[in-house]
Amino acid sequence: MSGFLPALGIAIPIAFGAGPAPAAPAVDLNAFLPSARDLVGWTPSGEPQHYAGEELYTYIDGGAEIYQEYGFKQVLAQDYKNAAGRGLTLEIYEMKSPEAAFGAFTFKASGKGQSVPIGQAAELEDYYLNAWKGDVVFTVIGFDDSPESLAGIRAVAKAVDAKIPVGGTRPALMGRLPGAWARAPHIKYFTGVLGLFNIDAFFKGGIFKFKAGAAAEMNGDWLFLFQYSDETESLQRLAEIQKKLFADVSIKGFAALPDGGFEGRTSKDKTFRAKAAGNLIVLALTNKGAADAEKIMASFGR
Amino acid sequence: MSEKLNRREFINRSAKIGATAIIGKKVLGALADGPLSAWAAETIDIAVVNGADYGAMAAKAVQMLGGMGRFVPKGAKVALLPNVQAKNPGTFTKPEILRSVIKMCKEAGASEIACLSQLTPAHWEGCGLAAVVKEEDVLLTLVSNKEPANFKKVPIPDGQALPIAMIMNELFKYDLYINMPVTKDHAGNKFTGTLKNHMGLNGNNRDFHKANWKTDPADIDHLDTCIADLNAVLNPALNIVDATEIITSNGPMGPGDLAKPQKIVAGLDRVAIDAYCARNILKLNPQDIVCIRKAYERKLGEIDPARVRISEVRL
Repeated sequence: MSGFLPALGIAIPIAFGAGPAPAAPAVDLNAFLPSARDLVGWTPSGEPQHYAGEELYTYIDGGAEIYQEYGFKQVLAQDYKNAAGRGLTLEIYEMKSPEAAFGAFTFKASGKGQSVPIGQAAELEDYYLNAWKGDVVFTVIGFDDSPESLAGIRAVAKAVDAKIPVGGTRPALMGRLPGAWARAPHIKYFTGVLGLFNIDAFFKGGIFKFKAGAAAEMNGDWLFLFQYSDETESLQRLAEIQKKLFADVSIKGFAALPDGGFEGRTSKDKTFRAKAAGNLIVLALTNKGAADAEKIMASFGR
Repeated sequence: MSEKLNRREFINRSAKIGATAIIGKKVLGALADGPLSAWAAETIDIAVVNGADYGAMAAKAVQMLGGMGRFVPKGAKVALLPNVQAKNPGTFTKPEILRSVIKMCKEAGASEIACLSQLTPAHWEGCGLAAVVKEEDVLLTLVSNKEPANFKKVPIPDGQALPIAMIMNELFKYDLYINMPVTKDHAGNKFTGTLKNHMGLNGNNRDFHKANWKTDPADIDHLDTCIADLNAVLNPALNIVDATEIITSNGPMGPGDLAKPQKIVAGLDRVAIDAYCARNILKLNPQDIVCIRKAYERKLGEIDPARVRISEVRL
């Protein structure tokens, strides 16, 4: 039952059970791992770690739900090192669809980083890079912001990009973001309450009951599109939401509007304004007041 | 060996040395009538230390609380529960903090020190904590959560979402344990700290996350209610929270936005500590974090900062 772990020298582990073998994955993610031949100055370090399905809860201790919400299939993680002793970690997540992978990418990317031409979308942040291509979202982590690490991050990411043969399309809902909102660097695509809740805690109650959602942020202002089956459902949901927010004592200044929508202020004193538009509910959220919320809504039109 | 005998044995051993870390007792109850009551009446509840030397900050925080000897009686067998998430910056308990706590436990006269974990050697090696364990010559006990026999059933009185906890058998070999989380963002409930770190001792954590995750806000409340339930049967001798470098997005694993509050927060009251960290470090309302609110409602600690004695210093 117990013994020493030679690698650690002093450990008394309880044996790790092998557990049931995971179902055979559809894609061999090993094919996307850059080898030493694909990179200059960086080589794989150690064996890749693979987790599929529910095993993600082992890899991400206590935090796998958001990936499961988007539709997780498997992840492969591989470390790299260079001669100077710096390290990188590459994580390749296969999601259930390009839409799921795109959503997970928008969850992971802050919108504050630098857009880089890798995959179908990529953002380089202080010490890591997230990228999306087809069913895959991948992350390269450098552990520091040194030029050497950042160059390594880019090199590994480009090598992964080159090995993923097929792309995919962005969710059609993202195309319904209007004008400048569609080009905003900070966008989100969400398919459940966690994705939405992680944008703003105002949405914790889960009262929107959407099929999918798109959001964009510009200068602290947010525009949200919640998608429903049809106009009948969006109008029905809007009425339900209005009723619940009206009854919510934490909401201030709640008022119905002539366009059938409503407005109010959250417990954090952000102003929100919402209305139905076809099979969507459109919602503006801003900390700049009612006039700004009205301006955001006007940008959507009809 | 029956479950009851083992549990009684554990409690008896804890009582002999006057430790507060007894499964089934409550922090506030222990403070009210336990061996620390006289000291507790005249000292602080939470120590906050700011600085850049994280090991020294941990030592200072414990000193402000009365010194490690208050929590680790001579001869005690001590388990440590650091947060071993990933090697991504701001996600794991800093090695220098673990080293400092180990040294303090040794100086207090601990007869045995072990780190307990359900994660893999790769997790421990990646974040540098395995090296500390090796260099400080303490035990590292890795428990597989795939083997139910590694865990002991502990009924949770009035468990709202979790009727039974599955506490790792290894914990019962120790007289007390020190809880050493990182406070940081968590995508599931926006906050993690002392309360949630206890999932590291529990074997049925998958029950906290409903199967076939759905778009259902009740699942978030379920997770946090399970955390509060679990904490009703666990009672650390001390909590030392790493708030030195933390992620404020994409938690708990990251990578995410990295903040450097450069604080260490320590004390006995898990609710008060988590409420402090939520309010002052992550800028969240503790009442909005369900596990903190539920733990407060369970009388596991104090959520009102006006009723908590906090002392903050800079090194």
